[in-house]
Amino acid sequence: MTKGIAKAMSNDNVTGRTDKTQSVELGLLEWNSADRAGVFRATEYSAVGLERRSDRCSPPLFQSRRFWVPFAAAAMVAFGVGTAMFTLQLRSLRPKAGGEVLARSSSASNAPGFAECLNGPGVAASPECVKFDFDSDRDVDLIDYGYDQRVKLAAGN
Amino acid sequence: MSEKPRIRSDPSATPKVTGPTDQELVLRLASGDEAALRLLMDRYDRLVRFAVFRMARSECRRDPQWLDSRATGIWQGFIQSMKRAGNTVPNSLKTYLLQVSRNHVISALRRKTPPWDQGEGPKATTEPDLIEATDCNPSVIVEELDSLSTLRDCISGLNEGDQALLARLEEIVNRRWVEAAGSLGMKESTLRSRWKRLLDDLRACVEGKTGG
Repeated sequence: MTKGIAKAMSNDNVTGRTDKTQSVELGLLEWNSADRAGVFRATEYSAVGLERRSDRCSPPLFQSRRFWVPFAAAAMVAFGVGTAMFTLQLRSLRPKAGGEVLARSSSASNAPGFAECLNGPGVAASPECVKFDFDSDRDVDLIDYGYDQRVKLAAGN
Repeated sequence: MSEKPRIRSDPSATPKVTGPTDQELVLRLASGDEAALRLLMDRYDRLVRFAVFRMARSECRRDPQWLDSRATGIWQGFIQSMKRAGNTVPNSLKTYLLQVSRNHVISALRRKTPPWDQGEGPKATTEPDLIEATDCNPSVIVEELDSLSTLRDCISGLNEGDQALLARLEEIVNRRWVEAAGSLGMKESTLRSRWKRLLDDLRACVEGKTGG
């Protein structure tokens, strides 16, 4: 006889049956109770299965660390790069000194630029600066600068 | 007395474990093999479910879905722990599953305990379900399941009339003979003799299967 039913034999019962029948009856009651509770059903495999489990039980991606940690790192890197680029852009846009701007109009790097030659009206232009005396009045002044700009605009520079 | 046994024997009722060992299946499961999980569930699902029932009987009676959700949770926890463990395989999978089941049931019962009854104080330990769950001995659970499975096999071999009588089990067992016979619409003597014969058959079947 199995131990479970043997154990049941030692229990009292109010029905007034003999010990032998009681033991089987108690075993039957235990079976009935287990059966009703669902012990003999099978756990639904699809609820446990490996693939389904990960789909069903893991939180949505935006709620998990797997999302937020790389996202935060990427955001910080992007912010840093963006800030650096913005700063560099600002520096490049910052207005330079007038002479510096004007100097950039010179095409030759070693030759004196327009800024170096811009000595104003009435001051005789040096031989290197004669090329900037567009109105042939022997000086390099703002009239020549305006002429220079108009020529450049017309040429599309 | 050489009476012919009236219960049909069902050789497929208690299948023998064949095929890959538990350890092989656990290793396959850890590497994501679905078939290994199916085989493990075929072998041990009933043990897990009976353990839950045995540890939280009253909860299972109160809520018919409780056992299902606990068993599902236990298997899910088992899968996770096996994946974490990698190549480490428990020596006895049966014992390990019972331990996982016990922990899971205790956690579930604690979650159901009202907030004012939780904590380390004496109130939490007087909860009857928790005591039932914590006192459960794994070897006793295995033996009881074996007993029940044997009994179930014997019941499945009964004829239809006896099985119909068993369906009214509670009306018969928990009442006096007169009341039970009245509710079943038969004579008390008939009920007594049929019931006695049924129990004798079951007893003989169980003893025959267990060699008791």
